[in-house]
Amino acid sequence: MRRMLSAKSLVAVIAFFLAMDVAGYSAAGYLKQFTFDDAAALDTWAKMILHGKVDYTLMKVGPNGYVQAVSEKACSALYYRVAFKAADYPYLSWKWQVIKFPDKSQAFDDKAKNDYAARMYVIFPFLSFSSSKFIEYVWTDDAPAGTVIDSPDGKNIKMIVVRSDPAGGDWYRESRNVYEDYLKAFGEQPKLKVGAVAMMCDADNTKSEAESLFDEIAIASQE
Amino acid sequence: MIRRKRYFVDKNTQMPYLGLVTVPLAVLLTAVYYAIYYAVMNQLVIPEAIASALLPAMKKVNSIMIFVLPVCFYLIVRAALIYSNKIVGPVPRIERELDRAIAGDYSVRLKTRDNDALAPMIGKVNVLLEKMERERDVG
Repeated sequence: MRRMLSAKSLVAVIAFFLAMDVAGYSAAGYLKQFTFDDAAALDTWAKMILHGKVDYTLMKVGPNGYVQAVSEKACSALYYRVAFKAADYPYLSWKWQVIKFPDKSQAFDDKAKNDYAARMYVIFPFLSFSSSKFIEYVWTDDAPAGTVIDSPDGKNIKMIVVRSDPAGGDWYRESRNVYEDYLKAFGEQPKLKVGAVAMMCDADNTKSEAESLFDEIAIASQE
Repeated sequence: MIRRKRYFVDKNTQMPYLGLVTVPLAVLLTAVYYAIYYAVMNQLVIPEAIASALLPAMKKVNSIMIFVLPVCFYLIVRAALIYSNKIVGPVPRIERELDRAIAGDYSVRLKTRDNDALAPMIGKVNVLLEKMERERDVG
């Protein structure tokens, strides 16, 4: 009887963890966690090449890995498809570091200035481009943190300046409440599901160079 | 053999058949156009990619479509007229000829074109009329 109970308990525990895995949980509260420590960590991320190819390389320091993005007059992104409601998993956190900002000294309009050493995207896709919504968290040296900028590519793309510290040397950890940021940026609650998250480093408009590092990206229900 | 003189014979009879061809074709064309747009948009994911690659391409496609669509529309309506006429084109004439037979003139024969959809049935009605005429002559 006791043996039967323990066998049942074991089955229940296995079933619970299987269900958690199917649901995409990697730990309590987390929908997704990317530590980039594994050599195959970037295999689940897809590349989107816009103008030229940015080198996204998995780097290792001891057991810890991170993503290095180097852009030479290029613009391409790494994205991960995932479906969830921002109300259920509002927190997006990541670590980043900017090594080099793109040179915007010769860029005079918004379109020409639309280069950022580091961006994190939260994408809310819908039936058409104009009905889809996009939030871009950017690190830039030409606007103060907290600024919300309309993208030159459309009012449905809001760029939130998360950091404006100078480049070089230090890792910074960010944690954003995507639900609250959406509310603040668009003036309404998100009705659409998140369809993807992405990271990008670009310097194509300014025809310059940029470099940044990304690590520990996570989507969670709690901060 | 009767040659087709008019492709549009009767508004009430032909319009539903015309719609049967044009509406699904128009819906299909729109669905294909949208499916291509959505598939590419979904594939590009990043807004800058959509804005710099898909939207200019769609603008170009739309400017071409301004010229192509009227031609497509003309061809669809023409095809719809031809096919709907094959079904309902002979109907008003058959009705007139059948009215003569009902009035007692069994010598009347229903005329048809070989590629009309109703041709086999009209042939059988003619056989029936022939039989009725023969029986009346014998009687």
